[in-house]
Amino acid sequence: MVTSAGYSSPVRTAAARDIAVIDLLDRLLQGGITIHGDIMLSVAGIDLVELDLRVLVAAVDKAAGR
Amino acid sequence: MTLLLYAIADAEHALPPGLSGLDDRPLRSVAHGRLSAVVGECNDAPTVTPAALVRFEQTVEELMGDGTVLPARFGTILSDEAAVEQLLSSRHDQLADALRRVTGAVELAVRAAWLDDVAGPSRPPGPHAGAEYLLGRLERRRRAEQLAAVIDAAVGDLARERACRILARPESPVTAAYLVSFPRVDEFLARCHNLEATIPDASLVCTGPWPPYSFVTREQT
Repeated sequence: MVTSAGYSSPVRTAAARDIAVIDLLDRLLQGGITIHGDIMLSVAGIDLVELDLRVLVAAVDKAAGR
Repeated sequence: MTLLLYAIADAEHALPPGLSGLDDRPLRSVAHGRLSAVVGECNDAPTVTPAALVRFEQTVEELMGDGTVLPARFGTILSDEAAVEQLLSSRHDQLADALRRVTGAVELAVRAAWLDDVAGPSRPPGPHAGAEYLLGRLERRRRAEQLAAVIDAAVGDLARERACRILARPESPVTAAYLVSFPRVDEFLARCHNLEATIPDASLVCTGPWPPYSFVTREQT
């Protein structure tokens, strides 16, 4: 979550942490400014989110030190 | 050497000193008109890895700490600085307008999950199974829409804009994003917390504050 803005994170439980990671993926891979035709990811974003979500949720959690 | 776009900010937005992005590459700012783009060099399109996603998000949040920014989607690459200037020039007014709309605000996400098991409408056998299946789907949509309305009634007046998805995933009846001004964030979170106690059949999780990923273009709101 945002730490620079100085808010305390409302996310407390393990299930809530998973949801926070899903929210992160939703935003980074499906939100934000895009340039048509210039998005090139080594893994297709939609497939990644839809098919391998559980694996990635666990992995992002680990990478984030949670 | 291509450039990875992190965010677009006001032309006066100052980069935090020493801030680096993916692979510890230094960031720089490319200005055009009233806008500036924060970019970092990258060898190729970035690979989606947990570490890269987290680093990208942390970098954008650092940028947001110094003022409002429009976050870029992960993996948005440009060939060189001329391409960055071309982006800022060709979409200048649209981006400046988006920046103005999100200035002084952050995105808060509200995601609901049913407490009972309504996620798996497996098709049961039997002569009326098809009808029951469809009725079940309609009923789940109706409940989800009702829940979205309850959430919106509780917190909607605190938000500048909203983006709500019904049944984006089977286990997520409501996935909502609200654009909330800084001074109203605490009250928004408190109201969400209080709201959950009044909803018997769903849990609510509020995450953020996020950079305004869901509010960078008007089409998404």
